[in-house]
Amino acid sequence: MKLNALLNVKSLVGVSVLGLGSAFALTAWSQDAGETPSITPRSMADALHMVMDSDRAVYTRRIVNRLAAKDKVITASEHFEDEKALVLPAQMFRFGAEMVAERAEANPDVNFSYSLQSIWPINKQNAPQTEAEKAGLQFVADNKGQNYYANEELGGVNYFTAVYADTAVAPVCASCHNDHKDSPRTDFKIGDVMGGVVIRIPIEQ
Amino acid sequence: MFYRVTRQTILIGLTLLSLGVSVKAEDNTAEDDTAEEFPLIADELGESRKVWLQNCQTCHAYGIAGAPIPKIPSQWEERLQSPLSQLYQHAIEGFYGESDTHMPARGGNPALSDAEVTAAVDYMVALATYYLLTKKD
Ligand code: HEC
Ligand code: HEC
Repeated sequence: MKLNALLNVKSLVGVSVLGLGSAFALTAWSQDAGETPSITPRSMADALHMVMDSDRAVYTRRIVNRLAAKDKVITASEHFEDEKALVLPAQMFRFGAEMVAERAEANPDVNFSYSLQSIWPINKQNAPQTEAEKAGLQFVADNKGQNYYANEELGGVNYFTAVYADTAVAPVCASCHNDHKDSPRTDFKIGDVMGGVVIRIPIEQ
Repeated sequence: MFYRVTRQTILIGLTLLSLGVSVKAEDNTAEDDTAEEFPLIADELGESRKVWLQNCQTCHAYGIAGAPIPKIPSQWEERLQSPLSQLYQHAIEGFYGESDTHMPARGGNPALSDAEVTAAVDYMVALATYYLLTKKD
């Protein structure tokens, strides 16, 4: 919509007011638009989540479902290096989050973090740390189909924190976690909320 | 257009006619409010609803894993045209959709009998038909 408006403006400007001055004005306007705050932390978190969730669903469906489950030409495994297997969707997600954390550190303009957590984690590092994380993971487990949003202050910085449910979409999600020696919970069923994606964005106040 | 005529569909049709039920179809998430909106007539349908609630709604009420939601007519319109035997077979044996979405065999619960799975399919087909017939747009 914005782009369309911009294009319309462009052609209008082109037709009615010829000259470098107006082209310059247009450039200045569009630069300003990039700097003008117009997206709320919530809509930014929702958008980020939509991207990561869709990428993970595509990986799960187009790669793991198709090649490992349906065509059986390769397996997916936690020990993907030893077994020359595909990485699990949850590992794929964590690797992405780790890369973002690394790259964001070198780029002060990019200021957010995300992680896959659970109140029943296989990996203790994936347990919630803050009050908002704990409350959020409990909330999405108790209220299927809903997201959790909160403001929290950590180390003197205000954050907007969003939690989105992570659900057992296939029988193997439940069975692998139930059978894993480090899993504190062994009665996951397909369709259960197993954890959540936590997205945290600093906000100025 | 042809809609499958099952006993459930006929029951729904009759109820719709006699009650002039109006439905709000905007809310497509929780199944909980379906009970009021979706008229349950026969006990048998209640039984299949039970199987559906315990095993299928966990994905199908929310679109988890890409599962088609009965409350969204566009997601069921085409499926309602395929033979019931195919829907049964897909639900019992499981299948992969066109974009490699996965419907697990028996909804991921191997303890369900063929009769329970097909009953749950009947219920979902009835639900989807109901929303398709009463959609407002
Ligand atoms: C073959 C085993 C396996 C399968 C299949 C699997 N997981 Fe995991 N999952 C793991 C392991 C191992 C970890 C810990 C990874 C790490 O070190 O962070 C994990 C981590 C997680 C976490 C973070 C909390 C925790 O337990 O540490 C969530 C949430 C999660 N998985 C959900 C899922 C979902 C949803 C699916 C299905 C789409 C799934 N898992 C499939 C093994 C598995
Ligand atoms: C893990 C989530 C999940 C669960 C649980 C689940 N389904 Fe599905 N179901 C799917 C998905 C995904 C599809 C769509 C696949 C496609 O066509 O892309 C589907 C499609 C279907 C279809 C349409 C088949 C067709 O040919 O178009 C039927 C019927 C069905 N499911 C019945 C059931 C029944 C009955 C249950 C409970 C016993 C159940 N499902 C539980 C995920 C699930």
